[in-house]
Amino acid sequence: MRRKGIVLDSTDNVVTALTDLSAGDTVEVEVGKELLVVTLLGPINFGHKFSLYDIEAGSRILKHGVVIGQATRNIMVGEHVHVHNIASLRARGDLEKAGVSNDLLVATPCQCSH
Amino acid sequence: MEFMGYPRPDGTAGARNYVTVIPAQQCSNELAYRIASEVGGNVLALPHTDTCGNVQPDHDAAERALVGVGCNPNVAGVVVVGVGCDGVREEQLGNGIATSRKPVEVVDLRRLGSYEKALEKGTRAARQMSVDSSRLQREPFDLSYLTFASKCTSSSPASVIACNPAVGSAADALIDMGGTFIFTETAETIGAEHLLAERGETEAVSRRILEVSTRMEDRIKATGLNIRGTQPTGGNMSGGISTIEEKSIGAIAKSGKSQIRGVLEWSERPSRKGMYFMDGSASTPQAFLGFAAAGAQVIALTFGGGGACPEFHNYTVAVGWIPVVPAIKVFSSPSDVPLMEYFDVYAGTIIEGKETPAEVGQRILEEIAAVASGKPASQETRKSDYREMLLMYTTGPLL
Repeated sequence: MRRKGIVLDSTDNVVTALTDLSAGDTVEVEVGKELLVVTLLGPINFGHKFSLYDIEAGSRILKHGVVIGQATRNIMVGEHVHVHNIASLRARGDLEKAGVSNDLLVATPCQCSH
Repeated sequence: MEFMGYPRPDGTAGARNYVTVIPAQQCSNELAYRIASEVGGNVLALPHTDTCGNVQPDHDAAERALVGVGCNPNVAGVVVVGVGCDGVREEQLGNGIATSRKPVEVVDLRRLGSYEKALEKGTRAARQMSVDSSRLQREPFDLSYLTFASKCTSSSPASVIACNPAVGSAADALIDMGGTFIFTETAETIGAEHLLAERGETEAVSRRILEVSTRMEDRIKATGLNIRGTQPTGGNMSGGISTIEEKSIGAIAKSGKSQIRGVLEWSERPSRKGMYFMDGSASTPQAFLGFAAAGAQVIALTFGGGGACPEFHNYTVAVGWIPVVPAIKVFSSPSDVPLMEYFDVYAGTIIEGKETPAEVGQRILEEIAAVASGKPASQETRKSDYREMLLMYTTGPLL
């Protein structure tokens, strides 16, 4: 049976949608040996991420057990996690040039149609 | 598992049987194309982008690429053409390829005196090699004679779940059988480079993996740019990938779990069998040229795709075409099943919950063996006159 979402490592704080999902959908996910249920705050397209927990601005985003970025805003459980609220910590030539530390990361507006 | 390959004088086995006409310099591209057109059949011209404005290190990389392609097991014989001037020297190119002990003819326009004489000599040589190569028969070889390489395109979260882990599983299986696997795309190790370094066979390899990844990251930072938009691309982001780190975890999944024996510069040939990381860009033609030069007989191009934004999805003939090495296309998304005829292996059963990466990996390995034995890859069944030029990887300024 096709699952709605997958958590790739038990330390992750995001879920990847395996099918297009709608606001209000409840998604059951296996996190290690636990089964957690997340209610979506908005639509999430196939392949996009939503938050497994409340995430504070400045916290690391973990996927597949690896840091994939940092929250640039507070994120609520079930919220879409993408370029509008997280930013990369690596290869930031723009920050190097500005002499700015990673803590002042800037997110870009999400251009997805949903 | 076995494949049926063409035995070459240096002990390697070819999945295909081409005669190649290789221009030493970009100025000889047209002459190479003319010669190949005159003969037809299994004769292919390999026009490329190395030009006199490139600096010496880039000429060296180009020469390495052209020698490597000439030595590739899928090539039965080579005609080298040159105008006798700067850049890569036709004599040197010919000597490099001759170490493979396959037939090589060097056509130097400057020595011969005219375009017509060069055309005549080149055509005669290519024609003879084509006839001679037609007498070769395939023989059985075990998979330790296979070099398989892979890169991804249309990356999306489906890549990390489906196509890449499946290829990684096939790669691990091939390594267990004594074969060789090569992967690349240095920018897509940023964020995941420590995971690769852990798999280095020796300390030196682990260090080198980190050095090469850092070298790329430093190069990016020196531009003063936020590369979001290039890495990841707009297409990647529409599909759900938010950062280069996220893209990288997905990208390295195609290399499975095997120990990494070494790190190659772009277009460098490995000295032994096993798993290798090759430095290079995420450009498909450029990566494929690097693979061909390293001796890969079959390549897998993996597609993530899916999602609400299909405009980044390009699966046609020209994408993934390199003249001497067939590429099988592995795709991941159930929503792309209507396009199945353009691909070779469907990995989306993993997303559907019907197969595991190991099971799809097995199918990929079987497909690789079949294509290596002569089965046409989907791209080889499409009629199109368009062929990509060999795109050289350069790091120097263009003068």
